[in-house]
Amino acid sequence: MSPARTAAVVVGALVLQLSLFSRFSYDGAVPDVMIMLAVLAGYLAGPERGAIVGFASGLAIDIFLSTPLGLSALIYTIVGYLTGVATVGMVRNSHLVPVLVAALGSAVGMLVYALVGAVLGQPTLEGPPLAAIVVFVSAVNAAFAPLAIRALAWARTDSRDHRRHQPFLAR
Amino acid sequence: MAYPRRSSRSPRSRFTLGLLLLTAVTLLAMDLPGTGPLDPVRSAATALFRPVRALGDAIFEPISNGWKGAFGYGDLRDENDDLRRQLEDRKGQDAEITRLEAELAEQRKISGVTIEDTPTITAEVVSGPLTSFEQTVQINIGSDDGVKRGMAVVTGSGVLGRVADVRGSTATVELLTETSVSIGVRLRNGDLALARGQGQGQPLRVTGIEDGTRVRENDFVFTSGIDRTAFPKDLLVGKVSSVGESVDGIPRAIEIEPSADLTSRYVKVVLREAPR
Repeated sequence: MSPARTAAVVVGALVLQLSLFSRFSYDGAVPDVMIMLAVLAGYLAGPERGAIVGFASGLAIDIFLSTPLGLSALIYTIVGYLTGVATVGMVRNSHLVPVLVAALGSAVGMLVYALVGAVLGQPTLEGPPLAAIVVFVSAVNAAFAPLAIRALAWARTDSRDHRRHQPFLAR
Repeated sequence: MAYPRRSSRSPRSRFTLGLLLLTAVTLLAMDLPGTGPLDPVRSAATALFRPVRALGDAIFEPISNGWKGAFGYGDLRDENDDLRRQLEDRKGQDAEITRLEAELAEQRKISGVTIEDTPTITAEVVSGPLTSFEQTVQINIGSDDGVKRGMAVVTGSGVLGRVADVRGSTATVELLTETSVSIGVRLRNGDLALARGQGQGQPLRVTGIEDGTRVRENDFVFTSGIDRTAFPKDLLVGKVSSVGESVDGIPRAIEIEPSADLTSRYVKVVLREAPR
């Protein structure tokens, strides 16, 4: 995985989250594409890289939130790692699989975020209904999963890899 | 698949996970008490990212405006109906408002403290909550403009909240409906109390109201301006939406519907610090 390309993907997703996705809400719930990166990185590249991308994307969004720095990084690291562990033996012959993984991983991530945040004294259970957050974030992330998969696949290859291997998504 | 995935059981994988978790927990431990040792880091990162974000805002604002125009018609109609209802309510309250204004003017004359005497600065709300787990808005002024944590933020129709976090040119405002926000208030008969948020979309709650206290629904509630607060006195907080009954010796509670439009685009920050 190219660090420079991965950083570019994380920054691109951050710009989209801050400038575009945060403007849309359903019943108070706001999309969260940063957790999708963690989930799909775990799915594509395994637990270790899922954890690294989760940490990076969580820390990036943490900078702009009023919640304590490190909270999103902690949750997204765990979610990225666990997604990698859970999908190790998964058959990957369908374009539908990453969509389902993005939806399910995001749902679990939102639940964990709300619960851990509440344990740490943050008002994560006092805002929009948790069900609305889980459903809305999962739906948005499922819709944008194919795009994120392409971006992460691009991040996994660099110019030298292109010469040696076929593209990641080629099946 | 073209690339091998590293096993989750490999020592390196677990070492990386442990290292990342340790880093995240360390950051959390440093930032959790709210003392803000990492604020300069956040401020620097925010400033560094500002041009990129500004570019993103410029590109994507028309898209979100189009979305709201296309799918927000129902909401606008509901809002319009609600405003009409409020207008009718207001007409019926004219007499009460006139009386309260006279009372307020008298009190201001006595105390000599008015909101006009306290400097304020106008700000624009540049962003709503960035994730589902925040009940905050961001405004386009910060410590460079003299804004400090804890300062009151008001709209034309009442108290909006307080400044929770300040950076160079932006600040984060906690809405008064957050459970962490409590405001000293004065009821119609002059009794003082503490109103606390109950979460998004919920009225504020004032507990410990004694039986003898005369409180009626639709009474206006103002800030008390005491109890080591940054909120000047006599700012409109809202009006009483329900009055409970005392049960088994437990004093009654009242609920206050905030009068401020929590989706206001322009707000004022009251440049007054909380006494230490």
